[in-house]
Amino acid sequence: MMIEFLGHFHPVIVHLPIGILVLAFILEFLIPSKKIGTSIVVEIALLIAAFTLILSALFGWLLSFTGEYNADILYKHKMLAILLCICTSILWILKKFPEHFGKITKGYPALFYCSFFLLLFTGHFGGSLTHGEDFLSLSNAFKNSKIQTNTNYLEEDSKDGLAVKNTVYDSLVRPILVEKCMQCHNSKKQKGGFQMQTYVLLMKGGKSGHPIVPNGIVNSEFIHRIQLDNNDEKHMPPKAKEPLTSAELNLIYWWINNGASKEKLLQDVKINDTIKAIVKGKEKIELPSLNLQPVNHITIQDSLALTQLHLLITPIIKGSPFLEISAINAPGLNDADLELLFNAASQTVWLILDETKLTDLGIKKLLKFNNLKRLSLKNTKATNQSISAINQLTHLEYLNIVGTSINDAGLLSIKCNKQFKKIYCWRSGITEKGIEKFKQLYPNVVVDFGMK
Amino acid sequence: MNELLRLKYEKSRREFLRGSALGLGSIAMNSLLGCNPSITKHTNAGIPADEINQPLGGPHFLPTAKRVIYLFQSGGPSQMELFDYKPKLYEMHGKEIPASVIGQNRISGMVSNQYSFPLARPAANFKQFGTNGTYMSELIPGISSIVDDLCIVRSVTTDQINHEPAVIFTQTGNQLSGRPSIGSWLSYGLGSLNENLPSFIVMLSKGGGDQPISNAAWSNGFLPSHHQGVQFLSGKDPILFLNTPDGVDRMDRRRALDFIKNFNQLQNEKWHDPEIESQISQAEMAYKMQLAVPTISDLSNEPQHILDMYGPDVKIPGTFAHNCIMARRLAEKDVRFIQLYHMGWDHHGSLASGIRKATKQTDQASAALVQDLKQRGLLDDTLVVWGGEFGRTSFSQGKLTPEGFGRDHHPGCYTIWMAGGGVKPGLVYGETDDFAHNVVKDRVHVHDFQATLLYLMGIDHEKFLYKKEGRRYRLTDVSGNVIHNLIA
Repeated sequence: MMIEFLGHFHPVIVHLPIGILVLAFILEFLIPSKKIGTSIVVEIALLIAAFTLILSALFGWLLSFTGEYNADILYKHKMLAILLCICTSILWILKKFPEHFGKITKGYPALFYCSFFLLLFTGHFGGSLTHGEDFLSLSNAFKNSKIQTNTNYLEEDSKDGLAVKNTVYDSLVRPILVEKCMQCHNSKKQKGGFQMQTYVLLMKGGKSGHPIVPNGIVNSEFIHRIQLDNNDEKHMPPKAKEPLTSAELNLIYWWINNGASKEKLLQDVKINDTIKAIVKGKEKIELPSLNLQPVNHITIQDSLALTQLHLLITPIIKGSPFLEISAINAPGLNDADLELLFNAASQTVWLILDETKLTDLGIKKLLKFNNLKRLSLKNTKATNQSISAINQLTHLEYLNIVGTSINDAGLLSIKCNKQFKKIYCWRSGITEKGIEKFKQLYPNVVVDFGMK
Repeated sequence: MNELLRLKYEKSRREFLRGSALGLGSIAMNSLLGCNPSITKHTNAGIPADEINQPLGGPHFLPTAKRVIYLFQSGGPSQMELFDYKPKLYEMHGKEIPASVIGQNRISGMVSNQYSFPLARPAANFKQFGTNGTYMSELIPGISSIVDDLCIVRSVTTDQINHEPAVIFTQTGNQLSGRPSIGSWLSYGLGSLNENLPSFIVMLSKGGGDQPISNAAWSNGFLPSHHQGVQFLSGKDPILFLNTPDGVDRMDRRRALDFIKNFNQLQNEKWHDPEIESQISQAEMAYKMQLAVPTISDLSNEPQHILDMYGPDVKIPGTFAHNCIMARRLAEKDVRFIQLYHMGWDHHGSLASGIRKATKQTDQASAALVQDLKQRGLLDDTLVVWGGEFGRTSFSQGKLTPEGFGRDHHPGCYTIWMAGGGVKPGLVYGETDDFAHNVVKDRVHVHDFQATLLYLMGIDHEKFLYKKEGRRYRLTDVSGNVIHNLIA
């Protein structure tokens, strides 16, 4: 434990020799004049570099015992680092006691260049160890999500040759591991020496023993870790990462309780209600959507006039530019007031103007509200004259003209697009005869005439 | 008290100093050790920390319902007499319910000393209604006539077997009182639409039964107290002392309120107690309601044929019919959550006459409410829910006599219906066994129902939470699944 802790000083100290060695390099080769007397500085720098290099190499060696790192890269990093230690030490000796070595000192610049490149490569492999192999790769610069680039290990499961779809493991359990665990437990980054990318590795576990004991939740380290207190340092996933949801935990619970098998097919296992619900929930459920072209998000100016109107302006969905505007608190709204909303006209999808002082003149202004899906003009002074404007609203699905004086002629002049669903026309001038004729034109539109 | 305040500030100062001494160092350390690129901190439900205990500020996704009218039928309406047609019960009248059916199910203390559990023939006949030929009871001709608009769920189950905990469980998601009810959650999360009326209004009907109902059912729990359900009284005036007393001018009231408000604000600057804000906003609301409520409760402008729809009781304040028309009028004014309670469904004895009384009081008005909302174009975004806290047993409580039998509480299955607000019209969901005792298909737990209700309002029930006393609370607590099959 203590040894591993000392290992944690590796990244703290490792940047010192890097800086110092580079400084020495610059002073030795890039500062042209020897007059300033940099020679002694280079000598001291080399000494410090060599000393800190050896120290950090030692710490690094201790750190490697945690076993959390890709063995392949670790080996390269280690070997290069040892070589670098030796080279830097020789450099210092050559610099300090050139008189003892005669001709060999001529190799000094070449060795220095060598050390410099060694330093670059050692550093690079070190970085790959902690940040992932593709941390510095070019393709990374063009992708947004770090998580997505890191998923090449996912393909490894097919190497098992047994990846069968529709097994409980493949279709339910593994997706959770991929999403919540494998970022840190894969072949490249083996936190706690634990890899999960294949079933065999998952069952094998890491340093902390058996993560999954079939039919034995109590003894499964995997479950134990997830259920620890959030603040416990052994809690998984770590604090900054997204935890497992209760549904996901339930699923893994149930899978382990049923033998934690890899091959069991979904249709062969007995599924209880909880799991059934979770599985059902997994089926892609499309959230209701507006199906509109995106629009610019303009926040309506909080003008005094608008405040005095008491219009209720709310986003349809949190953060969405599309708005519902309701005059529920603004019975005094008149034709001119609509102009205050022109800024947000194409953002408005639901417009409720019931019981206002609106007339045909104002309704004609609704032309601008080209994304309207729901329009309610209940108990306004709308007449047949308004229909021409309403016909321009190509996204309209719901029209409420209850209590207006629109009559059969008006109803029949309404042009309905495919998405048009409902017209409410109770207590208007519309009669059953008109509705019958309208039904022949648009059999799919529901026209509600109220109670008989 | 000043000492307390000073202590509080000092504590935070000390914490800051300690935090920065260790903190700045550890920040540097972290970036050196930096193996984990910083990711936005997630809480348990994946909600950014700064959005905890904040109203939602808008639905999570496109809502299909904007308001809810919940016709709560308190006492436990019998599913066998109303919605769940079981021919087997007519055949097996008087015979013992098979032990395999009862199984290990919980039965209440009221029948625990009963040795015989004879099945009782339902006290009503059934007929088919609607385009789907759904079997409905003769006791509810009104509701039966609109069956094509209803989404009937026959497979609801609850955890509770006694009234108080079961009602509280249905309304707040927990059997013990103290959590916010559905209406409070919605009022808190989505806010008010009408600025002159509360967003959560409760009406109790009288004349049903004498079973009391606790106001914990419309409690705000740990949410700010202005989200509590505002109870309209069942007398002539829904709210007492609403009129300004003689000799007091409305502007005098205004001045008085403003003066009090100044005092309250002074206090609030000092204490930052959310309850002071609640006090201010509720005094303001009362002032606004002085104007708004009389116009709501005045039925004189309702045409006679509309009043007739709701039935003969509609003009008597406090009846279920009256509350139903009030509910419609409030829905027209965009009140977010309107909760009605009708007591009188608890038929332990003389079920046949009791359920006839209860259906007579509620059937016509319930159906009229749905139809009235529909013809106004309001049913599209108003969810109407009709249901109680549990069902009743298919076996008789006490001795089985032709008229005198009763049924005991039964949490294992019961029926509710919904209409509008984006649920599938004309759907019958879920199946129970031949004895209406166990759910055999598509169980809907109370938490599932609550999750679905929130979904219709555009809310993800797992992301709608409030942190209090060291844990996060949800309406559905730690369970609940949205039943997507119920949604159109």
